Amino acid sequence: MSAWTISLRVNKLLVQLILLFVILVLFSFLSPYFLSVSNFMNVLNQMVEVGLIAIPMTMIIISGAMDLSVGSILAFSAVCMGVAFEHGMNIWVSMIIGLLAGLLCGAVNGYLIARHRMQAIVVTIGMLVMLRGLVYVINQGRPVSGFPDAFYFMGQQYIGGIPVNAIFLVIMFLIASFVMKKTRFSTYVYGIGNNEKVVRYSGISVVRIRFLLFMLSGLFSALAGVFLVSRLASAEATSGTNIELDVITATLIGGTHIFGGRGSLSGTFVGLLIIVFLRNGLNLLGVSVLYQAVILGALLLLAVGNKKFNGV
Amino acid sequence: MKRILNVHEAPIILFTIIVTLLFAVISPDFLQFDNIKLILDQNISMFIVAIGMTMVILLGGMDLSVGSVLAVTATSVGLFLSHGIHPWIAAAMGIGIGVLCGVVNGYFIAVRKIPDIIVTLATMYIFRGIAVGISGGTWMTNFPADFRFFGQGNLLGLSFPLLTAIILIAVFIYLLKFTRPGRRIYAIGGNNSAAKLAGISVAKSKFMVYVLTGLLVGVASVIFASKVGSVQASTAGNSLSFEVMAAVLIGGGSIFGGVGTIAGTMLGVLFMGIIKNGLIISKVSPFWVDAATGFLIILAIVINTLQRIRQNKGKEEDLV
Amino acid sequence: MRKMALAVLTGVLALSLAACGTKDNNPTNAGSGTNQGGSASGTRTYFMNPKSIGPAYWAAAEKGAKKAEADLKVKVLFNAPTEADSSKQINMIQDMLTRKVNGIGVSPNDAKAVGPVFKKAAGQGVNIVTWDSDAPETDRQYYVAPATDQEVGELLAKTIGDEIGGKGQVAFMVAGLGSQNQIAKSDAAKAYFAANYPDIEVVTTVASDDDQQKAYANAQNLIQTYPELKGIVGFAGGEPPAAAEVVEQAVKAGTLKKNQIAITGIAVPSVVKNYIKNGTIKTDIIWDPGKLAYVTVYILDQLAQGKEIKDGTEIPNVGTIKVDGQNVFIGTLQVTSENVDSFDF
Repeated sequence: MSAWTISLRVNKLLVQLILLFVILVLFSFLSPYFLSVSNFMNVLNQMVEVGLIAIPMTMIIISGAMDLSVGSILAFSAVCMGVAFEHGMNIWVSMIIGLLAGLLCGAVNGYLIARHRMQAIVVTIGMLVMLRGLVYVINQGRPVSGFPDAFYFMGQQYIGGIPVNAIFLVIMFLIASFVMKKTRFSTYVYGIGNNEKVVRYSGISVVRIRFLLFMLSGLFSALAGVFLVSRLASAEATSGTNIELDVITATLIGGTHIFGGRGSLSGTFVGLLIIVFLRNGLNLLGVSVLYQAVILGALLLLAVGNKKFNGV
Repeated sequence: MKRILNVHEAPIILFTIIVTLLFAVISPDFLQFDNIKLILDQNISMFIVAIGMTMVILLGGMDLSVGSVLAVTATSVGLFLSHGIHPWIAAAMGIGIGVLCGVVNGYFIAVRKIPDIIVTLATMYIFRGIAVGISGGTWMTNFPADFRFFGQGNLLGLSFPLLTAIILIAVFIYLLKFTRPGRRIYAIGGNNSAAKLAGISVAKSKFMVYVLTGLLVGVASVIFASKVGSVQASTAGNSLSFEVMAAVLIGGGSIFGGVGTIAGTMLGVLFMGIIKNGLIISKVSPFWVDAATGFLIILAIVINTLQRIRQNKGKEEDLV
Repeated sequence: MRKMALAVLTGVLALSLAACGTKDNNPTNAGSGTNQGGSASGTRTYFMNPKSIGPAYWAAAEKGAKKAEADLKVKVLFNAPTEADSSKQINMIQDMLTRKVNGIGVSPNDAKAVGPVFKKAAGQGVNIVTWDSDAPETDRQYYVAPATDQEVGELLAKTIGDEIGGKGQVAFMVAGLGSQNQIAKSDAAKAYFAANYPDIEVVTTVASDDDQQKAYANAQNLIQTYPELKGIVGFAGGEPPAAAEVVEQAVKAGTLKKNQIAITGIAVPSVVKNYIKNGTIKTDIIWDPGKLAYVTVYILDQLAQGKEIKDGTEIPNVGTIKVDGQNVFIGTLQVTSENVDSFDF
């Protein structure tokens, strides 16, 4: 069983890597600007927010749930941070306030979904609407800016030619990937996705695992918010709108099974690279966003759709 | 009394009544005949789309593409009209395009066996792109006067859209409750493999449901275009899928399928409509409207869950 | 193996689609009279970036940009995200900087957030001009607009104030509670009321999030909530037609008297043509978005050639522009029933 699963997983990843490779080669031929270090660093810099949220999203989807509120949590923590800063707090303290705000949102999600076993999709749709509303309540829709230069280090600086935030993202992916491969936590997550009942009867607290997952989602969304503010130098009410769709698309292209139980972070990472390079390449070619949407949809259908799903 | 409380939708009915009374106390304008008519009128397309979504969710799926389908059909109806095609024919062709979109969804989901979410997420992107593409970025507007009948006309003393919605709701309640195809939907949603073993063709039912959903969205989009008077392809129906899904689930549906009724869904739509209208009527600060809406959605879900726990006392594992 | 083949096929398919997409653009470029004899890199390329793609307003702007492309014999790329989202817009500008365009015209979704990317552009010697919305205190060189947000807001306030006789309740309809140009215009309008029409009360501001159906429902709710309402001001292209549609329907149903509620706002003439002819909207404020885009491309082209922009410059096909410091104004238009048919956008 395990050997079979592993070979399948490797196989899947290989297909995704080939797809990525094809995209890279084709765009290099089509656009003279595509294959350059500065363009690649540029793309890495842009993918951080979606990438950070994709980490917990992958785990949550593996566990058989979904979090649609991430975009609103992102905006909520970004604006909380901005407002705290405006009230004269130290930027790093404000940042921690922002992260705590995200953690709190995640805890509310987790409490309702894990503890009270409510349907994740509805709860997070509700949170999506409510938090976006609260953002407007907090700052009346006006963006906050004027952060100190030291703070922009996170989103705008390069170390050895590589964007700081991209390095952070890769480290996060490595840590999370380690956790999802080597720890008992991951066994539980996969287990819940495959058969929740069995996990519960084995005496493991499903509630705690689920709660933890949604907390993580809140925290990472807040982190994405902080990095976004640092990159754009502005905390605004509309940031992160519809980001959940990008995140879910990346996760699905990365081979995570929508009904849970299967998936990997390395797959998500490749999926992420596929969608950001696709978008970047199409932008460079001057393809209108309308065609871009159609192409992304077709890719999703073909790349993900052709896997066998009925063998669950 | 106890029997009433055990009705699946009882708590949400109660909650709707409480919210209604609350708004009525805050603003005397709220519980007026005109305003109630307005709330119904504003949510006609939601009501119609929600019928389809209820069936989809009953099957254990979800349809994220309804907003984009609405945009495609409304835009094409606008295009037909601007080419001088008779309003009735244009409307029929628009509904036909809705059906076509449903066929596309149904093909990939039922025949190719790709999960609903993936297919509809993909077609959400694709249909939206097509809609904006065929519109050429311009608005569909200045419809002929005859076309207005679909959104504003009167038939038998009732407004045409309301009548359409009532008929559709009645037909689909009948279909789901008393016909074989309808009961099959419940069977499949309740236990997919058992249904299969009982000889039900899951693929056929799924295909049918998505085609019907396309049809309903087509009808909704004709009414939408006629009522609003202008269609912007890039934003029409943007948040529709989430809102309709929330309405179905508030109305007692379960995202895992098999549970839910059309009547409950309609109540969910009504609940959302009452909140949106009531918050403005009671002059809540515009910044608070969204926050309050989200809060009330969560509250409705909390209440629903409590009811399910009450009903399932002792049946611990069926909670989700 | 089959899976791999499928994946490869997918990639090829997606990219051939992409190629089709670009091919669609090519005829316009070729037809624009670009001097194909010279080397391709000799053609000056500009990136025009509106707030989003989809609304009729930006579609009209695109036509103007394409006209400038033909007239000035340059290449213009016109693209933006499908939603007015700041971070997606900035990602796109970054991508275009990689492409080494000669100049970029941006209508920023967030005036502050574009600061870093503008700085990067300036560092690379790429000229930046903002249009339609400004980003002051950044490295942008010029701002092309019909007038300042303040002037437009005041003009709207004055129009509605005159129409309702300087007294009564007025409601505002905006596209987004968080978008800067909407806030600036509505604040200016409020300030104008306070100074000139103290008897006008702004009862509320509702936002449609650029959704026509929501704008329509908002207008219905306004009429229901405020029976004394005298006027509605729509601050974005989608709001006045929605308000007008609702008012016309209410008049037809007999719940409102004709001309009980005055409507004004910013809207493209072709969209509100019927409402203006019916008298539901008396005056509508607009400028030609096509001209706005045309002037932006023109200025980018002047900058790329190292020429100066002077006040009173006569731009062919547009007319004289007013230059005030770093601001370039093309002026606003008032649409009424007399001239509504004379606009071609």
